[in-house]
Amino acid sequence: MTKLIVARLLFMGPAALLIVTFLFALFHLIPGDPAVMLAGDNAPRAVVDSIRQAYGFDQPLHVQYWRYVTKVLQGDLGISNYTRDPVIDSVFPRIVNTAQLAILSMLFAMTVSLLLGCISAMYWNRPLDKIVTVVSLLGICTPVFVSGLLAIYFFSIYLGWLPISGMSSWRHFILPVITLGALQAAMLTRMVRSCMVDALGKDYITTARAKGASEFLVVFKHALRNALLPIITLFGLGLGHTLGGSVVTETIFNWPGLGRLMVNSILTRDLPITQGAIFFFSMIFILVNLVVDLIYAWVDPRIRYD
Amino acid sequence: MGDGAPLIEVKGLKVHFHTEDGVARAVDGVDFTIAPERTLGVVGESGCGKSVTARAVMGLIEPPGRIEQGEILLHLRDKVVDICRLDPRGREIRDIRGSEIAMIFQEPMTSLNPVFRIGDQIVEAILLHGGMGRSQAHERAIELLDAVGIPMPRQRFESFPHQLSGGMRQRAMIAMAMSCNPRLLIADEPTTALDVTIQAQVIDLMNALRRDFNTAIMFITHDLGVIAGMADDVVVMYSGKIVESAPVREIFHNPKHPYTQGLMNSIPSLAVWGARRLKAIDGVVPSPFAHQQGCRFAPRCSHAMEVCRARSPELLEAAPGHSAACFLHQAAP
Repeated sequence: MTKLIVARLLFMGPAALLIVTFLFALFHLIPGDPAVMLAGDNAPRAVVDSIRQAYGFDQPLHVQYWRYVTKVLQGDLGISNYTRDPVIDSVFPRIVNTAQLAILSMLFAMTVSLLLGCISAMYWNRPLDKIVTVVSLLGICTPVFVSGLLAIYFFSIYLGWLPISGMSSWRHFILPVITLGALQAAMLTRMVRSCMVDALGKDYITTARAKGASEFLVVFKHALRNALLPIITLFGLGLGHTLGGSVVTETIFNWPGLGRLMVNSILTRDLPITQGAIFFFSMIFILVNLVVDLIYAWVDPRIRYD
Repeated sequence: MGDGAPLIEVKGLKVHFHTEDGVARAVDGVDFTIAPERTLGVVGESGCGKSVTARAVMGLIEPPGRIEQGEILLHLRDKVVDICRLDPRGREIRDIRGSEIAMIFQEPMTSLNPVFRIGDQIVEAILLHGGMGRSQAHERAIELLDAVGIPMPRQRFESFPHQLSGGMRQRAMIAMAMSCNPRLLIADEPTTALDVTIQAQVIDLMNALRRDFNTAIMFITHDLGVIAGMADDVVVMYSGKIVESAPVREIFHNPKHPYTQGLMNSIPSLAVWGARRLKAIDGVVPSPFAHQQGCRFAPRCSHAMEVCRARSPELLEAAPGHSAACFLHQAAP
């Protein structure tokens, strides 16, 4: 187990370096002179040159690369082209907002999918299972921009129960969390169901029944504990996706999150912000994966004790 | 068989599986009795319905399987219950499973739950049937691990299944099955997946436990050698039916049914002088989906007569205590 943790932690170093290298390359791969981009298309030649010198764009690539890497290591991701604020100051609060949305959505999705998936597996091939399957299929097929707008129309405009957008109180969380969580719940329910059906068909389930264990024990202790192994991985992936992929939800609910920041920065060609957003998103993804691996190893004694 | 009241009486048991390909008659009219503290060997080829019969006795038939007919009467201390009439997920059958009837399976590799400690799985079985606190159950589990010959039982209690060998896992399964002193232990090919030397150890262990715990055993196998070493009585199954039933000596020395005779001829012999080619039984086991008229063994039987193809023979006594379902041993009607 310790060996595994150390190996996974060591793996984070090269992964982070790869990301930084990619971000550096991104800056130089996109068409156009970065100095012109910063100065503006119609800036006088002298201004462009001074910017080039000030930012070090006139230096050889490896010198620029080394400088970029050391700056990132010191937590300096550059300055926004527009606001002139350090990138980290614009990105960090957005991460916190997105993380709140993503974590709450995933908690919702995990609860719903575990419950529905287990019920579905227990009543495998019977009407209740078929209803759950159809509902989850509907959930998967409904894009967030449809479900989100319908939810706003019904709960905010028609019933007037919940605010339309923003994030100033806990009531603002309800619609975005459920909209984003429902899509994940729909996808995860199908996964939980198939993992549970698989686990319930195993020999040790017959052993548990032969001991005289109740159906509740059989399903929620013996089968679920085994089905959890693949499910944990799926939950981790789901969290990774909600952290980075909630652009549409954030746009619909006017949520000041990382996804919207990233899209805006691309539209305004604010490259340092794009880089910073990608950097943090990638690091979070790696971290989530690490945590998932560790939980997985901890849950599965075959990994823990080898 | 033994004197006095039987432990289990199976009467006219039929278990069918309703699948998309049709109805598979896995068990198609089976009668047998197990007396207390006796060992019944159930022999037959793969697919003859022995495992399904065992599961029916445990009340473990799951859809698409269904008990179509018959009774499985379990004689408890104060009453007789018909297992076929109990809700397979209900309280009554759960109280019987594990405490009155316990079961061990063919694959020790997969029949223990991989994510729980061996000891905890035994403790669970003990706690399910009450009468003990957790720490008492813990001590009892260690005693059991010791009784089934697992070295260092205190340490092994903490082991996970993947840390034990196949033979050790089967011992742990046996410990779990014996944890509540069941009156009947069903062993569904418990030695098939093990190496020959480990097989012998497991058989010795079961014989020892049978004496210590006074447990009746229903021992299912396709290995006649194992039957010779374990069983008091034997039933031979073929295609969902019992074709012969007799005490173990009778079965080996005086087999009546041509199928049993065929099985005996296919046992390899170690005698150098008497060395002979093994005689295989011609043909194949009929599909459980096929609904053939007459005796199911008739197409493979060298003694088949006109009547064998027309009617199905009943299991009737051919000699005292020895029954066979064969017209060769029955007065022509």
